[in-house]
Amino acid sequence: MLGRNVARYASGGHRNVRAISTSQILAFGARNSAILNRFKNEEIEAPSKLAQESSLPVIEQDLKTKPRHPSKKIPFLSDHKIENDPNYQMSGWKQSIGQWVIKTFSIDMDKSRAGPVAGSIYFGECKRQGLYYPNEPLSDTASFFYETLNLPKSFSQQYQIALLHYWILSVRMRAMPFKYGKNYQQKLIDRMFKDMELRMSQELKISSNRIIENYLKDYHTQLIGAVLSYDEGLMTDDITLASALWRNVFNGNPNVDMRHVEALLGYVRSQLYVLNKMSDREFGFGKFKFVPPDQVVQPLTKAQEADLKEKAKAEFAQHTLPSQTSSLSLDE
Amino acid sequence: MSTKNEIAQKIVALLKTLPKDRIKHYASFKDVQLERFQNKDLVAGISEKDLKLQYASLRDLVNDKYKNYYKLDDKLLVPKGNPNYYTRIMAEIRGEKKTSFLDAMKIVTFGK
Repeated sequence: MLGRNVARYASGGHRNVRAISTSQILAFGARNSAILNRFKNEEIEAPSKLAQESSLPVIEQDLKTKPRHPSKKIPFLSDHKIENDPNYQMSGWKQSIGQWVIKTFSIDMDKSRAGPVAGSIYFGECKRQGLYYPNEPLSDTASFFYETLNLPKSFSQQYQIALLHYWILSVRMRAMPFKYGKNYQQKLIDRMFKDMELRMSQELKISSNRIIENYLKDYHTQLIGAVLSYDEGLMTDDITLASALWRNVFNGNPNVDMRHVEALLGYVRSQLYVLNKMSDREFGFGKFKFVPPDQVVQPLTKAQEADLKEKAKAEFAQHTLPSQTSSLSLDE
Repeated sequence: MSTKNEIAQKIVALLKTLPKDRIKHYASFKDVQLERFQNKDLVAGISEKDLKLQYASLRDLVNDKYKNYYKLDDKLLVPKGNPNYYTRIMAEIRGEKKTSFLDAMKIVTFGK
Protein backbone atom coordinates (compact mmCIF):
# COMPACT_ATOMS: atom_id res chain seq x y z
CA MET A 1 0.00 0.00 0.00
CA LEU A 2 2.81 2.31 0.98
CA GLY A 3 4.70 1.39 -2.19
CA ARG A 4 1.73 2.31 -4.37
CA ASN A 5 1.39 5.59 -2.58
CA VAL A 6 5.07 6.32 -2.96
CA ALA A 7 4.89 5.46 -6.67
CA ARG A 8 1.95 7.83 -7.11
CA TYR A 9 3.99 10.61 -5.56
CA ALA A 10 7.08 9.79 -7.55
CA SER A 11 5.11 10.11 -10.77
CA GLY A 12 3.51 13.33 -9.65
CA GLY A 13 0.16 11.58 -9.24
CA HIS A 14 -0.75 13.74 -6.26
CA ARG A 15 -1.48 16.53 -8.72
CA ASN A 16 -4.39 14.43 -9.99
CA VAL A 17 -5.63 14.05 -6.45
CA ARG A 18 -5.71 17.82 -6.08
CA ALA A 19 -7.59 18.18 -9.37
CA ILE A 20 -10.31 15.80 -8.19
CA SER A 21 -10.72 17.62 -4.93
CA THR A 22 -10.87 20.98 -6.72
CA SER A 23 -13.65 19.87 -9.02
CA GLN A 24 -15.65 18.66 -6.06
CA ILE A 25 -15.18 21.99 -4.40
CA LEU A 26 -16.36 23.83 -7.48
CA ALA A 27 -19.46 21.67 -7.83
CA PHE A 28 -20.28 22.14 -4.17
CA GLY A 29 -19.55 25.84 -4.38
CA ALA A 30 -21.88 26.31 -7.34
CA ARG A 31 -24.74 24.68 -5.51
CA ASN A 32 -24.10 26.38 -2.20
CA SER A 33 -22.77 29.72 -3.33
CA ALA A 34 -24.78 31.56 -0.71
CA ILE A 35 -23.23 29.43 2.02
CA LEU A 36 -19.67 29.75 0.86
CA ASN A 37 -19.54 33.26 -0.57
CA ARG A 38 -18.72 34.66 2.82
CA PHE A 39 -15.65 32.45 3.03
CA LYS A 40 -14.43 32.90 -0.52
CA ASN A 41 -12.50 35.96 0.45
CA GLU A 42 -8.95 35.51 -0.77
CA GLU A 43 -7.67 38.20 1.58
CA ILE A 44 -5.49 36.87 4.34
CA GLU A 45 -6.60 37.62 7.88
CA ALA A 46 -4.47 37.81 11.00
CA PRO A 47 -4.06 34.29 12.49
CA SER A 48 -5.67 35.18 15.80
CA LYS A 49 -8.67 36.81 14.09
CA LEU A 50 -9.07 33.83 11.78
CA ALA A 51 -8.98 31.40 14.69
CA GLN A 52 -11.56 33.40 16.66
CA GLU A 53 -14.15 33.21 13.87
CA SER A 54 -15.04 29.68 14.77
CA SER A 55 -16.97 28.76 17.90
CA LEU A 56 -16.70 25.01 17.67
CA PRO A 57 -17.63 23.39 21.01
CA VAL A 58 -14.44 22.54 22.88
CA ILE A 59 -14.12 18.83 23.61
CA GLU A 60 -11.33 18.45 26.15
CA GLN A 61 -8.64 16.09 24.94
CA ASP A 62 -7.65 13.34 27.34
CA LEU A 63 -3.84 13.54 27.43
CA LYS A 64 -3.71 10.76 30.06
CA THR A 65 -1.43 12.85 32.23
CA LYS A 66 -1.82 15.71 34.65
CA PRO A 67 0.64 18.46 33.78
CA ARG A 68 2.96 19.71 36.48
CA HIS A 69 2.99 23.50 36.70
CA PRO A 70 5.96 25.66 37.67
CA SER A 71 6.12 26.55 41.36
CA LYS A 72 8.98 29.01 40.97
CA LYS A 73 10.16 31.43 38.31
CA ILE A 74 13.77 31.55 37.17
CA PRO A 75 15.14 34.56 35.21
CA PHE A 76 13.95 34.65 31.59
CA LEU A 77 17.47 34.39 30.13
CA SER A 78 19.94 34.26 33.01
CA ASP A 79 20.89 36.30 36.02
CA HIS A 80 24.09 37.51 34.39
CA LYS A 81 24.10 41.31 34.08
CA ILE A 82 25.17 41.35 30.41
CA GLU A 83 22.29 39.13 29.32
CA ASN A 84 19.68 40.22 31.80
CA ASP A 85 19.98 44.00 31.64
CA PRO A 86 18.87 45.45 28.27
CA ASN A 87 20.55 48.78 29.11
CA TYR A 88 23.90 47.25 30.07
CA GLN A 89 26.85 49.21 28.69
CA MET A 90 30.37 47.82 28.85
CA SER A 91 32.87 50.38 30.15
CA GLY A 92 34.91 52.24 27.50
CA TRP A 93 38.30 50.74 28.33
CA LYS A 94 36.95 47.20 28.24
CA GLN A 95 35.42 47.90 24.83
CA SER A 96 38.72 49.29 23.53
CA ILE A 97 40.64 46.20 24.67
CA GLY A 98 38.01 43.95 23.08
CA GLN A 99 38.12 45.79 19.76
CA TRP A 100 41.94 45.68 19.80
CA VAL A 101 41.96 41.90 20.42
CA ILE A 102 39.46 41.29 17.61
CA LYS A 103 41.46 43.40 15.18
CA THR A 104 44.88 42.04 16.14
CA PHE A 105 43.93 38.36 16.04
CA SER A 106 41.48 38.76 13.10
CA ILE A 107 38.74 36.98 15.01
CA ASP A 108 35.88 35.68 12.85
CA MET A 109 33.05 37.71 14.37
CA ASP A 110 30.33 35.88 12.42
CA LYS A 111 31.34 32.74 14.27
CA SER A 112 31.57 34.49 17.65
CA ARG A 113 28.25 36.25 17.12
CA ALA A 114 26.37 32.92 16.97
CA GLY A 115 26.50 32.71 20.78
CA PRO A 116 24.92 36.06 21.69
CA VAL A 117 22.54 36.11 18.71
CA ALA A 118 21.30 32.52 18.30
CA GLY A 119 22.08 31.39 21.85
CA SER A 120 20.52 34.42 23.51
CA ILE A 121 18.37 36.69 21.29
CA TYR A 122 16.80 33.97 19.14
CA PHE A 123 16.61 31.58 22.06
CA GLY A 124 14.67 34.27 23.95
CA GLU A 125 12.37 34.72 20.96
CA CYS A 126 11.60 30.98 20.84
CA LYS A 127 11.10 30.71 24.60
CA ARG A 128 8.91 33.81 24.87
CA GLN A 129 6.23 32.59 22.45
CA GLY A 130 4.75 29.83 24.59
CA LEU A 131 5.88 30.90 28.05
CA TYR A 132 3.32 30.90 30.83
CA TYR A 133 3.36 31.00 34.61
CA PRO A 134 0.32 30.26 36.79
CA ASN A 135 -1.47 33.42 38.02
CA GLU A 136 0.41 35.65 35.60
CA PRO A 137 -1.10 37.37 32.55
CA LEU A 138 -0.20 35.75 29.23
CA SER A 139 1.76 37.55 26.54
CA ASP A 140 -0.06 38.21 23.23
CA THR A 141 1.50 35.21 21.51
CA ALA A 142 1.01 32.93 24.50
CA SER A 143 -2.65 33.95 24.70
CA PHE A 144 -2.98 33.06 20.99
CA PHE A 145 -1.68 29.56 21.70
CA TYR A 146 -3.37 28.85 25.03
CA GLU A 147 -6.60 30.85 24.84
CA THR A 148 -7.39 31.23 21.14
CA LEU A 149 -6.13 27.82 20.00
CA ASN A 150 -7.12 26.18 23.33
CA LEU A 151 -3.86 24.30 23.71
CA PRO A 152 -3.25 22.73 27.13
CA LYS A 153 -0.93 24.63 29.46
CA SER A 154 1.93 22.28 30.13
CA PHE A 155 5.71 22.14 29.97
CA SER A 156 5.63 19.79 26.98
CA GLN A 157 3.28 22.12 25.15
CA GLN A 158 5.65 25.03 25.77
CA TYR A 159 8.41 22.88 24.34
CA GLN A 160 6.38 22.07 21.22
CA ILE A 161 5.70 25.78 20.66
CA ALA A 162 9.38 26.65 21.17
CA LEU A 163 10.33 23.77 18.87
CA LEU A 164 8.06 25.08 16.13
CA HIS A 165 9.74 28.48 16.39
CA TYR A 166 13.16 26.82 16.46
CA TRP A 167 12.31 25.04 13.22
CA ILE A 168 11.16 28.29 11.59
CA LEU A 169 14.49 29.89 12.48
CA SER A 170 16.50 26.84 11.48
CA VAL A 171 14.98 26.95 7.98
CA ARG A 172 16.56 30.39 7.65
CA MET A 173 19.81 29.32 9.29
CA ARG A 174 20.26 26.55 6.72
CA ALA A 175 20.27 29.23 4.03
CA MET A 176 23.28 30.94 5.60
CA PRO A 177 26.83 29.90 4.62
CA PHE A 178 27.21 26.37 5.99
CA LYS A 179 29.77 26.92 8.76
CA TYR A 180 27.83 29.87 10.18
CA GLY A 181 24.33 28.44 9.77
CA LYS A 182 25.30 25.18 11.45
CA ASN A 183 26.87 27.10 14.32
CA TYR A 184 23.76 29.23 14.81
CA GLN A 185 21.53 26.14 14.85
CA GLN A 186 23.80 24.38 17.35
CA LYS A 187 23.95 27.37 19.70
CA LEU A 188 20.19 27.80 19.64
CA ILE A 189 19.28 24.18 20.30
CA ASP A 190 21.98 23.74 22.97
CA ARG A 191 20.63 26.73 24.85
CA MET A 192 17.04 25.49 24.56
CA PHE A 193 17.91 22.12 26.07
CA LYS A 194 20.09 23.67 28.78
CA ASP A 195 17.19 25.94 29.70
CA MET A 196 14.73 23.03 29.81
CA GLU A 197 17.05 21.12 32.09
CA LEU A 198 17.25 24.09 34.46
CA ARG A 199 13.52 24.72 34.40
CA MET A 200 12.63 21.10 35.05
CA SER A 201 14.88 21.09 38.06
CA GLN A 202 14.23 24.59 39.47
CA GLU A 203 10.71 25.47 38.31
CA LEU A 204 9.01 22.08 38.10
CA LYS A 205 11.02 20.77 41.07
CA ILE A 206 11.92 17.43 39.54
CA SER A 207 14.65 16.30 41.90
CA SER A 208 15.93 13.24 40.05
CA ASN A 209 18.54 13.92 37.40
CA ARG A 210 17.84 10.54 35.85
CA ILE A 211 14.19 11.48 35.27
CA ILE A 212 15.20 14.87 33.83
CA GLU A 213 17.67 13.15 31.51
CA ASN A 214 14.99 10.73 30.32
CA TYR A 215 12.63 13.62 29.60
CA LEU A 216 15.38 15.38 27.66
CA LYS A 217 15.96 12.25 25.58
CA ASP A 218 12.21 12.10 24.86
CA TYR A 219 12.21 15.76 23.85
CA HIS A 220 15.19 15.15 21.60
CA THR A 221 13.35 12.31 19.86
CA GLN A 222 10.36 14.63 19.41
CA LEU A 223 12.69 17.26 17.96
CA ILE A 224 14.00 14.89 15.29
CA GLY A 225 10.51 13.70 14.33
CA ALA A 226 8.97 17.17 14.31
CA VAL A 227 11.77 18.73 12.25
CA LEU A 228 11.50 15.94 9.66
CA SER A 229 7.70 16.34 9.44
CA TYR A 230 7.89 20.11 9.17
CA ASP A 231 10.61 19.84 6.51
CA GLU A 232 8.41 17.44 4.56
CA GLY A 233 5.50 19.88 4.85
CA LEU A 234 7.65 22.78 3.72
CA MET A 235 8.71 20.92 0.57
CA THR A 236 5.29 19.48 -0.30
CA ASP A 237 2.00 21.23 0.41
CA ASP A 238 -0.07 23.03 3.00
CA ILE A 239 -2.07 19.98 4.07
CA THR A 240 1.11 17.99 4.83
CA LEU A 241 2.49 20.87 6.91
CA ALA A 242 -0.91 21.26 8.58
CA SER A 243 -0.92 17.53 9.44
CA ALA A 244 2.55 17.91 10.97
CA LEU A 245 1.32 20.88 13.04
CA TRP A 246 -1.75 18.90 14.07
CA ARG A 247 0.36 15.95 15.28
CA ASN A 248 2.96 18.03 17.10
CA VAL A 249 1.40 21.27 18.30
CA PHE A 250 -2.24 20.13 18.56
CA ASN A 251 -1.21 16.77 20.08
CA GLY A 252 -3.16 14.89 17.40
CA ASN A 253 -6.42 16.15 18.91
CA PRO A 254 -9.22 14.35 17.00
CA ASN A 255 -11.69 17.18 17.69
CA VAL A 256 -9.40 19.98 16.59
CA ASP A 257 -10.92 23.08 15.04
CA MET A 258 -9.75 23.24 11.40
CA ARG A 259 -9.91 27.02 11.64
CA HIS A 260 -7.24 26.84 14.34
CA VAL A 261 -5.01 24.57 12.25
CA GLU A 262 -5.39 26.94 9.31
CA ALA A 263 -4.58 29.95 11.52
CA LEU A 264 -1.40 28.32 12.81
CA LEU A 265 -0.36 27.29 9.32
CA GLY A 266 -0.85 30.87 8.12
CA TYR A 267 1.20 32.06 11.10
CA VAL A 268 4.08 29.70 10.25
CA ARG A 269 4.05 30.47 6.53
CA SER A 270 4.01 34.23 7.19
CA GLN A 271 7.08 33.97 9.47
CA LEU A 272 8.92 31.98 6.81
CA TYR A 273 8.00 34.63 4.25
CA VAL A 274 9.48 37.39 6.39
CA LEU A 275 12.65 35.34 6.89
CA ASN A 276 12.84 34.70 3.16
CA LYS A 277 12.93 38.44 2.54
CA MET A 278 15.60 39.08 5.14
CA SER A 279 19.29 39.18 4.21
CA ASP A 280 21.88 36.93 5.87
CA ARG A 281 23.52 39.93 7.51
CA GLU A 282 20.32 41.25 9.11
CA PHE A 283 19.34 37.78 10.29
CA GLY A 284 22.85 37.05 11.53
CA PHE A 285 22.82 40.24 13.62
CA GLY A 286 19.60 39.16 15.38
CA LYS A 287 17.27 41.64 13.67
CA PHE A 288 14.44 39.16 13.23
CA LYS A 289 11.42 39.19 15.54
CA PHE A 290 8.46 36.85 15.17
CA VAL A 291 5.41 38.67 13.80
CA PRO A 292 2.68 38.61 16.50
CA PRO A 293 -0.36 36.49 15.55
CA ASP A 294 -2.70 39.49 15.65
CA GLN A 295 -0.86 41.10 12.74
CA VAL A 296 -1.07 40.31 9.04
CA VAL A 297 2.00 39.85 6.84
CA GLN A 298 1.36 41.31 3.39
CA PRO A 299 3.60 40.18 0.52
CA LEU A 300 6.13 42.86 -0.46
CA THR A 301 6.22 44.59 -3.80
CA LYS A 302 9.53 44.81 -5.70
CA ALA A 303 9.80 48.50 -4.81
CA GLN A 304 9.27 47.80 -1.11
CA GLU A 305 11.88 45.06 -1.20
CA ALA A 306 14.42 47.37 -2.86
CA ASP A 307 13.62 50.08 -0.32
CA LEU A 308 14.16 47.71 2.62
CA LYS A 309 17.43 46.51 1.12
CA GLU A 310 18.63 50.10 0.75
CA LYS A 311 17.75 50.88 4.36
CA ALA A 312 19.58 47.76 5.59
CA LYS A 313 22.66 48.69 3.57
CA ALA A 314 22.61 52.22 4.95
CA GLU A 315 22.30 50.89 8.49
CA PHE A 316 25.15 48.41 8.15
CA ALA A 317 27.39 50.96 6.43
CA GLN A 318 27.60 52.67 9.83
CA HIS A 319 28.91 49.49 11.46
CA THR A 320 32.63 50.10 11.23
CA LEU A 321 34.02 48.71 14.49
CA PRO A 322 36.13 45.51 14.35
CA SER A 323 33.45 43.70 16.38
CA GLN A 324 30.82 44.65 13.78
CA THR A 325 32.65 43.17 10.80
CA SER A 326 30.82 40.46 8.91
CA SER A 327 31.19 38.47 5.72
CA LEU A 328 27.46 37.67 5.61
CA SER A 329 25.63 38.86 2.52
CA LEU A 330 23.45 41.96 2.52
CA ASP A 331 21.87 41.05 -0.82
CA GLU A 332 20.47 37.62 -0.08
CA MET B 1 -29.96 19.27 9.18
CA SER B 2 -29.73 18.25 5.55
CA THR B 3 -27.39 21.15 4.80
CA LYS B 4 -25.22 20.07 7.71
CA ASN B 5 -25.15 16.52 6.42
CA GLU B 6 -24.29 17.76 2.99
CA ILE B 7 -21.37 19.83 4.28
CA ALA B 8 -20.16 16.89 6.39
CA GLN B 9 -20.31 14.68 3.30
CA LYS B 10 -18.29 17.21 1.34
CA ILE B 11 -15.71 17.37 4.12
CA VAL B 12 -15.50 13.57 4.05
CA ALA B 13 -15.17 13.57 0.24
CA LEU B 14 -12.40 16.17 0.50
CA LEU B 15 -10.59 14.21 3.21
CA LYS B 16 -10.80 11.04 1.13
CA THR B 17 -8.84 12.72 -1.66
CA LEU B 18 -5.88 13.29 0.67
CA PRO B 19 -2.96 10.94 0.05
CA LYS B 20 -1.85 8.52 2.73
CA ASP B 21 1.02 9.63 4.97
CA ARG B 22 4.39 8.84 3.42
CA ILE B 23 5.72 7.85 6.84
CA LYS B 24 3.66 6.01 9.42
CA HIS B 25 3.00 8.37 12.35
CA TYR B 26 1.36 7.79 15.70
CA ALA B 27 -1.84 9.23 14.24
CA SER B 28 -3.00 9.91 10.70
CA PHE B 29 -4.71 13.26 10.14
CA LYS B 30 -6.74 11.83 7.27
CA ASP B 31 -7.99 8.74 9.12
CA VAL B 32 -8.74 10.53 12.40
CA GLN B 33 -10.64 13.36 10.72
CA LEU B 34 -12.51 10.96 8.41
CA GLU B 35 -13.72 9.06 11.45
CA ARG B 36 -14.71 12.32 13.13
CA PHE B 37 -16.78 13.75 10.29
CA GLN B 38 -18.42 10.38 9.59
CA ASN B 39 -19.64 10.26 13.18
CA LYS B 40 -23.23 11.57 12.97
CA ASP B 41 -23.43 12.37 16.69
CA LEU B 42 -20.31 14.53 16.58
CA VAL B 43 -21.48 16.36 13.45
CA ALA B 44 -24.88 16.97 15.06
CA GLY B 45 -23.15 18.81 17.91
CA ILE B 46 -21.52 21.31 15.51
CA SER B 47 -23.47 24.35 14.33
CA GLU B 48 -23.98 24.89 10.62
CA LYS B 49 -21.82 28.00 10.62
CA ASP B 50 -18.93 26.20 12.31
CA LEU B 51 -19.24 23.24 9.98
CA LYS B 52 -18.99 25.58 6.99
CA LEU B 53 -15.90 27.13 8.54
CA GLN B 54 -14.38 23.68 9.00
CA TYR B 55 -15.01 22.97 5.35
CA ALA B 56 -13.70 26.36 4.20
CA SER B 57 -10.50 25.92 6.22
CA LEU B 58 -9.91 22.40 4.98
CA ARG B 59 -10.50 23.55 1.42
CA ASP B 60 -7.96 26.37 1.84
CA LEU B 61 -5.42 23.90 3.20
CA VAL B 62 -5.98 21.44 0.36
CA ASN B 63 -5.74 24.23 -2.22
CA ASP B 64 -2.35 25.39 -0.86
CA LYS B 65 -3.72 28.88 -0.21
CA TYR B 66 -0.90 29.87 2.12
CA LYS B 67 1.87 28.20 0.16
CA ASN B 68 0.82 30.23 -2.87
CA TYR B 69 0.19 33.45 -0.96
CA TYR B 70 3.47 33.42 0.98
CA LYS B 71 5.67 32.20 -1.86
CA LEU B 72 9.20 31.24 -0.87
CA ASP B 73 12.04 31.26 -3.32
CA ASP B 74 15.10 29.07 -3.76
CA LYS B 75 16.93 31.03 -1.09
CA LEU B 76 15.12 28.95 1.55
CA LEU B 77 14.07 25.94 -0.53
CA VAL B 78 17.55 25.25 -1.94
CA PRO B 79 19.65 26.55 0.98
CA LYS B 80 23.10 27.62 -0.10
CA GLY B 81 24.64 26.21 3.07
CA ASN B 82 23.41 22.73 2.24
CA PRO B 83 21.77 22.62 -1.22
CA ASN B 84 20.96 18.88 -1.10
CA TYR B 85 19.34 18.98 2.33
CA TYR B 86 15.69 18.85 1.24
CA THR B 87 16.20 16.73 -1.90
CA ARG B 88 17.94 14.06 0.19
CA ILE B 89 15.17 14.06 2.80
CA MET B 90 12.38 13.99 0.22
CA ALA B 91 14.07 11.20 -1.78
CA GLU B 92 14.30 9.16 1.41
CA ILE B 93 10.69 9.87 2.43
CA ARG B 94 9.36 9.03 -1.03
CA GLY B 95 11.40 5.86 -1.08
CA GLU B 96 13.27 6.86 -4.22
CA LYS B 97 16.76 6.64 -2.79
CA LYS B 98 18.05 5.38 0.48
CA THR B 99 21.08 7.04 2.06
CA SER B 100 23.95 4.57 2.15
CA PHE B 101 25.83 3.85 5.35
CA LEU B 102 28.89 5.72 4.12
CA ASP B 103 26.83 8.79 3.15
CA ALA B 104 25.09 8.68 6.52
CA MET B 105 28.43 8.63 8.33
CA LYS B 106 29.63 11.53 6.20
CA ILE B 107 26.51 13.54 7.11
CA VAL B 108 26.90 12.74 10.81
CA THR B 109 30.59 13.70 10.75
CA PHE B 110 30.60 16.76 8.53
CA GLY B 111 26.98 17.87 8.79
CA LYS B 112 26.16 17.59 5.07
